[in-house]
Amino acid sequence: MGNKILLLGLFVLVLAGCATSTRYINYTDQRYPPKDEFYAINVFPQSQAQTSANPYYVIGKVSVEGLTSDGVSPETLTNRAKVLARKRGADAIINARTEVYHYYYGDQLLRFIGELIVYAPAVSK
Amino acid sequence: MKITLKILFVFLFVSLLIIRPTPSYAWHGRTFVGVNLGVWPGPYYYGYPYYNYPYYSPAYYPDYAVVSSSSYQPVVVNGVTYYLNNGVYYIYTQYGYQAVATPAGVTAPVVQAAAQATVPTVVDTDDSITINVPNNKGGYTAVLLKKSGNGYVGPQGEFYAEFPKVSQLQVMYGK
Repeated sequence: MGNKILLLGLFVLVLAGCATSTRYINYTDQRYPPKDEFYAINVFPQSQAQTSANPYYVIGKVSVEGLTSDGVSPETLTNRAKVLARKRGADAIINARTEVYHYYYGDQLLRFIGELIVYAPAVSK
Repeated sequence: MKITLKILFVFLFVSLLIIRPTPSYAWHGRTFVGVNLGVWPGPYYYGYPYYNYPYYSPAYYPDYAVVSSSSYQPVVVNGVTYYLNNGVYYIYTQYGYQAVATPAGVTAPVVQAAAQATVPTVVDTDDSITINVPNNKGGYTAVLLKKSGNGYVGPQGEFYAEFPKVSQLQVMYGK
């Protein structure tokens, strides 16, 4: 029984560690206070270009990827990106897209790419 | 057996604790924060897919993905450097790329209709057909095809068993 629990723990640990891989590139040395876990991060796809009417700063680029054989789905990746965005203090993710790479042995690599933005404070005139 | 599993478990746990950060590959030379979990993440190696090289099968040459820092193309307008990304102009500040309005004097690029490459203008005569093939210079190159039996002969003497597609003619006459 003990061995089974150990094996199960080992399996869960391996799965948790290998399911997704996250990368982040800072565009600036500026740091922003993290958002709380209930903050809703909007994700705008690449096809939906943002306008400068609502001024914002692009602070970095996030890339999250994982294999479908590990149970990774586009939603999983998007949620991971949102978690990172909150941690980095971002307000939204723009230019978001999910790339799919097919392997000859049938597996698929999903890669979410997006850029984190913070809205610029309103300028009083 | 139980001790072996325990040792393995502890080893894995410790190895997870001492994971080193992924080194910086960002083109901008800025910080690149990531965690190397030992999973081969994809077919990219320095931005190019392995699949371009027949002997570099991803199954045999695993490596870690390198994500380019940005796709911001610098554009100088009136002496000011803007960065263009996904149709939006930015200026670089200490807070990051700031979205700005399209600079004065910049016109939006004109996207040429894709249909022009698929529907060529065809002029028929008795035994020849002239096709205007779109070329790389933005214009058209007139290609005269002469009927020969059941097929067609091009200006360079090449034979087409069937009426050639524009994409076929572009290979030879679209430059």
